[in-house]
Amino acid sequence: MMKHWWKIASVILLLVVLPGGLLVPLKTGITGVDKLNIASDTTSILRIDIYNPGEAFKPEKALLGGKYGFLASEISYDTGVLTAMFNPKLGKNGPEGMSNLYVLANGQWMAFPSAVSITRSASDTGSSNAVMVGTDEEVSTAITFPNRPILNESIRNLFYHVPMWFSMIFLLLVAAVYSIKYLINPNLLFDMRSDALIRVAILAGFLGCATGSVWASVTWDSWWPRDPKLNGVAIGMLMYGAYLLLRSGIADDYQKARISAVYNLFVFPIFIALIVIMPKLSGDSLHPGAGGTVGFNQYDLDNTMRLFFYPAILGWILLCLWLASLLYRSNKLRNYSH
Amino acid sequence: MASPLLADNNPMRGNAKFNVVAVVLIIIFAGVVGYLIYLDKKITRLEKEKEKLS
Repeated sequence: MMKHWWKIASVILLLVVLPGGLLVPLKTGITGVDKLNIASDTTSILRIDIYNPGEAFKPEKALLGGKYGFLASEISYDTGVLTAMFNPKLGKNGPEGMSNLYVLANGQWMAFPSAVSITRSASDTGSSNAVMVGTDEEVSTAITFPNRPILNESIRNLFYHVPMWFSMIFLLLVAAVYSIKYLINPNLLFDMRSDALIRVAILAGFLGCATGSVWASVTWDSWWPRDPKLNGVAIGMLMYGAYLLLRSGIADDYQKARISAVYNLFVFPIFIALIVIMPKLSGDSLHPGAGGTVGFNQYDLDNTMRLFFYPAILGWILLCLWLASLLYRSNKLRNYSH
Repeated sequence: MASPLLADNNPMRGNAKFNVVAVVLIIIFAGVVGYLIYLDKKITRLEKEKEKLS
């Protein structure tokens, strides 16, 4: 029993993460507006969808714009729908275009980026009625984290999509350690361990790609968006696909093991460079933690997310190690029976 | 109510994009089950080989 503790740990962690990650409610946020376009110098009424408002929801202000913006002259709220009356005057020189929508409720700002576009009316030639409400900095840090625009409920995928990549990288790291062990001490068991870990890592990577692809189709409007991380992963998966081909082409067990170990030790650092370092250097990635930002600070500022994110990583890694150990043990049995 | 981000035909965006989480979990579950089937076949083959030897 004691030797199975890590399998039990994986099940317990995932039993916390699966229901917890699915059931903890999101914070209040804006999910939609009923107009894409309003004219300036005209009174427009916007109906704003408020998601998970809760019973004590009390809106105080609604604002169109950013650092300078147009405050709603009147707001009213009724079960999930906030009605706000705007009369934006751009003035002679004020810029037209997309405006963000901000709502201040219960002391916190919520944001909905690129909500409404304001077009100039012919009558709008006087002065602007834009007011300054806080700075960009204040507005951006005040976004209620877990109900992020674009992501909404799909933020929960953090506990299911992201750990696939952590598992893949961890398994490949352990596989690289076994490859080194094999090169030092040519025992075929090391090769079998490394091979099982790589195969399960490829499965985790495949699941990471597939889950990421459906998530991207919903949030980034593309099944395979242009992103250095995705391209890096595609090349990395092909390199490990070549590993499988390479192995299947060599008949002698010791030769197969040695060539696999050397190939694996070449490929692993390249893989890490492609999926971790290159997206950072490129400076432009849709993924958080790439390009400029370090780590996950931008992603999970929220402590309740952390509470489930770290157990999720550990739980999925242990589950993948378990899958790999089953493959290793069955391969070992096959080799002994031959 | 029409919303620029939510009003479209992609059912995965339903329930404020909760549905995509369900799809993600189904994919992962299918992956793990597919792996179990592969392993099951492999072990069945081993058992048959063992029977032949004995």
